[in-house]
This record gives sequence, C-alpha cells and structure tokens, in this order.
Amino acid sequence: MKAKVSLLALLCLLAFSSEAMALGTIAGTSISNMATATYTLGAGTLTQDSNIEVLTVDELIDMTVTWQDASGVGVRPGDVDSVLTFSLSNTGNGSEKFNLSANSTLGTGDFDPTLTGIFFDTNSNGIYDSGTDNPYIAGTNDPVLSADASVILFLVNSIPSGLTDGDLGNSEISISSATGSGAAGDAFAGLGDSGTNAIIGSSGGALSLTGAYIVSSIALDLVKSYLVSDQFGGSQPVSGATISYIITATVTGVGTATDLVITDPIPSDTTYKDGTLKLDAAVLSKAADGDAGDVGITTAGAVTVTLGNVAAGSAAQTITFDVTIN
Amino acid sequence: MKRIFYTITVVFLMTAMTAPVYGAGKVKVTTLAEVEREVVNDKGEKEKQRVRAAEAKIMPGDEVIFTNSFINDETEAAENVVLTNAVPEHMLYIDFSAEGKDAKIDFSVDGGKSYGTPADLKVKDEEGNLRRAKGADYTHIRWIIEKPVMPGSKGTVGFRVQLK
Repeated sequence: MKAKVSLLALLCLLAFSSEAMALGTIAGTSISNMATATYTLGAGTLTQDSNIEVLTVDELIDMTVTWQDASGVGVRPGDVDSVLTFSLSNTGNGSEKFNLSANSTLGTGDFDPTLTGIFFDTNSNGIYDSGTDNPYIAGTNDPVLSADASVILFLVNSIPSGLTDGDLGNSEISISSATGSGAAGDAFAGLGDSGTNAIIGSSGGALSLTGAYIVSSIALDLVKSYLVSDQFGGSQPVSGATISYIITATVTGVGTATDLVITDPIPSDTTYKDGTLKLDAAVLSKAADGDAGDVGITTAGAVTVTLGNVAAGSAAQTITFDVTIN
Repeated sequence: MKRIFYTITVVFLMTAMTAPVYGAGKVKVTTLAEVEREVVNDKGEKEKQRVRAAEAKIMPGDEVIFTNSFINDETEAAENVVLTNAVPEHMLYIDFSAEGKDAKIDFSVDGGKSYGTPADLKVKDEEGNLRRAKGADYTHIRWIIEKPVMPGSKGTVGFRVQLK
C-alpha cells in the first residue's frame, strides 16, 4: 500500500514537470552549461571549471486557428459583407509569416456564399468595417506574427438570393506557414529565425477551418450609444461623471425571435448607479426578481435584460442604465 | 632596500596561494549536453539514440540530458570532490533526474547560496506562503562525491532538464 502511494506521488510530479509551455524559449536562443568541481589535494582547495557546452534553440513552426463565431452566423438572402471571424495564433517560438487563402465554393452546404475576400481588423475593434479594414492581398501583406501573437481575420462573403430559412452555407480559410509545411517533425535546415532549423509542429504548418452561415430571415439589430454628464454641468468623462448607456433592440425580418436576452457588461472602473436600469419606461430593480432585468446576478459584472419572444417588426425596445466613473 | 625586497616577496607568495587554478586542472571536468532521438537501426527497428544537443534539432519542451564527467589527472587522491552545476537559463530541472555514483545529491533554490535535499527545500508561492520546492524551482545541483577520487580514476554525474 505504501509503495502504491509513493508511485502515485511520483507520477503526479512527473506529469507536472512535463506540462506544456505557454510560450517556448525563443528560436535562436543560445543556452550554455558549465559544471564546476572543487576538491582538496593535500592541503590546498582547488576549483576547476568544465568546458562550456552550448546548444541553440531551433524554430518550431506551429499555429492555431479558431472560428470565433462558434456557430452559424445568421444572414438574410441577398446580404453583402457577411462576416465570419477567425483568429490565427502563432504558437511557435519564432517570428513567422503566414500565407492565407479562402474558398467559398466548397459545395458542402445548402448553398455556396460568394467570396469577397479576407480582411484584417485594421482598426482593431473586433468588428469588420467595410472600407476601413484592409483586404488581404497574397504576397503583399501576408501577416507576420511574433511568437505567441494573434491576428483577427475576417472572411467576408455575400449571400445569394432565393434561399430559405435554415439553409447553411460554408466558407473556408486556409493558412500555411511561409517557411513550409509538412508532417510534424519535418525540418527545414537553416530556414528558422537567426539561421536556426525550422521544425514543423503538430499543426503541420498548414491549417484549414470552415465557418458557416445560416439563413435566418429574422435578425436582431442592437444599437448602443452613450452620453457623459459630469458633475460640473459639462460632458467630460472625469471621476464622478455619469455615463448613460442606451441600447436599442430591433427585430427585423419575418418570424419571432425567441428567448431574447440582452447582456451588457458594466465597464471596468465604473459603478452601476442604483435605480437607473430601465426597459423602455419601466424601472427594473437590480435584484433577480419578477421584473425583466438585474445587475450582476444573472451575469456577473453585467446588466441582463430578458426580452423573451419578440416578433419581427414589433416596436424597438430600449434599455437604459447609468454608471458612475470611479 | 632590503625592506622593499621582503614586501614584494610576501605579496607574490600570497597571490600564488589564493589564486584559483584554472587550466592546470588536476581534476578535469567535461560537460556534455545530449538529447534522445528515435532513429531506425540497421534491422529497421526504431530505437532511441543519444545525440549531442549542439548538433541536434532542439525545440521548446525537449528534454536535455547533461552529463558531467570528471577524471583525476594527478598522482595523488583528490578528496572532498564536489561538483556544482547551475540549471541553465530557459531550462527546468526534471524531478528525480539527477544521478551520480557514490554521490550525495543536493539542490539549491536560492542561486547556489544554500543547498538541501528535495524534502527540505521550500519556496514561497504566489501568496507568499512557503511550499515544498519542485524540480522546476531548482537553481543549482550539487554532487558531493563521498569517496576520494584516486589518481587516474573517473566518474560521471548527470541530470535532465526540460527546455521551456
């Protein structure tokens, strides 16, 4: 029994020591080792250093791609600039250039979207802005990511007309390392950072990922705006000033949006002002009670308002609440 | 004139006695870094072979084996032989990997100022509480060779690390 326990402890320790590293030692790093001996010979104590053994860390080429929307993006027939959002991360240990391509003629869904292109989040707001966000042009602005860096990529398509609710359309993004791709462990001598070897990781140096659109003639439009009023009668966002948020929810298209819940985080460094949460004219208490809203209960640090089933074309509903800048 | 001569002699003697002996080593130490790589042998079987790390492809997460060999090149026995090795930068010591015949092995978690056995070593966690040190906390390894190293005799000690 005792032996069993210590073996288990040993296994735990081993498992811990081999856990994956979030960010590996950067390619091209030289690591030296030296041992030292001290000893006595007759009456004298002597010290002797060993040689210095040097090894150089090679470049691991690896990456992950994730589809940020996670489930089919609702579109309407004839929509333009419909966006699938992807995130590319360099999980290798060196700076790496990536080649991108897109394919919307997969023939796998109910319809094929029409590819517009791949775009960068040029203004870094996480949302595709047509005309502002720059298109990807192969060989011209291939993204170069340092180790552990990520980039958002928008795969933009237009949606054909004449589709029915529930139809699914797929679009695929493909990413490959500019250095090379292949089986895990394949090496490209001297092509890594600082002249190191480039070694292909588990991603194979190339990945493809498909995102999907789902035709839904019902859509929710959310518009959020805010007003700042400071305690001096002005509109400066100073400590003690009040920010009033206004969120307008409109359901368009045909049909009914079911179980609609709006969640909006209280911004950091602000405090919710008691008694200000309203749905249209009705005041909602911050407690999770009979009314439609609460603050920080259903969702920690956020305002949650349940709109329930909302028929398309019904009047816009407005949520308002105030916060104070700390 | 006489006085000056004496002073110079004394200074010279002190220098000779305290200066460490580099190069003219009586106990010579050699360190070697290796990795294990799977290769296909003549019979077409896969087997693990050790390759010198300097000539191998090294990636984050790799295990590196350090071997320190020593030999007493002198005509008399070397006593109280102690080898120390700092865990190199970017590397984490792998628990239970240090080895050495007739050696008492200790570790340091404070940059080599003090040494202890794994059971005794403690470090502060994120909340400032003391916890038992793990291999990844070790900064130095020390081997105390418990027997005199006779003229011409050799020994090896070693340890393994994981590259961060």
